[in-house]
Amino acid sequence: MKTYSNFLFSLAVTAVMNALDMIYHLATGWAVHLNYVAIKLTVIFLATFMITQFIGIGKEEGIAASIFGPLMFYVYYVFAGPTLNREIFRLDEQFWFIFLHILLMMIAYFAAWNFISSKKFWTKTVGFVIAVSFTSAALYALFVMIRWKSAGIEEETAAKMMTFGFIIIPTTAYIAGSILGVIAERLSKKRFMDVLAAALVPTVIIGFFTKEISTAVFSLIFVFISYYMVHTFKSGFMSDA
Amino acid sequence: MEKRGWLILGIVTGICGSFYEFIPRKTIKSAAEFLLFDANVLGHRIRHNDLILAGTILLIISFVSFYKVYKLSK
Repeated sequence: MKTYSNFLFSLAVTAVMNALDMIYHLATGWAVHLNYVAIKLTVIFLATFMITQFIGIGKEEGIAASIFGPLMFYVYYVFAGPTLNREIFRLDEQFWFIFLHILLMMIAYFAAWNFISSKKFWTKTVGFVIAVSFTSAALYALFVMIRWKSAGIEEETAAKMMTFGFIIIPTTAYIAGSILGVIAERLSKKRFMDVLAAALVPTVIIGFFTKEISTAVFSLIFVFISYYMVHTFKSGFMSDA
Repeated sequence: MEKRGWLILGIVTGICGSFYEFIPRKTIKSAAEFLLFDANVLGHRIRHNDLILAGTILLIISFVSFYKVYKLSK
């Protein structure tokens, strides 16, 4: 159970960090490319998972994972050969991006950690909302990018289709949904009501904007997956404590 | 695993990871075809960037091993 909890915790931290990173890049005109996101996910996930699994979870471990994950990703960038045309793809490979990635990683890690360990209602709730909504947003973005790739859309076209509007609408919908979920849980005191309320908002909003039933259904599934992840890793850590 | 085991793991993965990560391909290519350059695994050609990724993963294992040694020493 401990390994599975650590796995889900690391997965959620990685997904939240990547969602925040994608939002920043798309807001400031940097490219978000599936292959680079995949490498970033792999390196950040492995660093977080190994530290969580073999060292533990806490403030010091969070700081270590937040610094080490982005640092290793930067090292990969420096030594790997470029596979994309830098005149078309503006990538986050400059040194100063390490500091941004560390900051985003800290937000992701400590949001998840506060959700598990904080005794204060607001800290716990903010951690939960960040963990659930940004995990859902990351899954949604990955789903769309993979769908574009499998549909044979060229890399350059896909990068142009990845705009700030593409990510901000679903992210806002997921945040609104998870806040509504928290309120629904407080009012009804029934566990399933929070998931239903949280899933309903993004499903309707994403369905309305994309006008695709399949995308709306997947956006619903991503909320269920995120809820499952955060509640499972929390109960895993609570049973170990 | 005990402290000594973590230390050995850290050193071994650190050396292997550094080899694939930091040494330029041209420097070692002639003597290192056996080290997976241009090999095919399940129909996928191993590229230089795949080895860099493998090196990065080994360096992550190395860091975590040394971190564990530090924790066990405290």
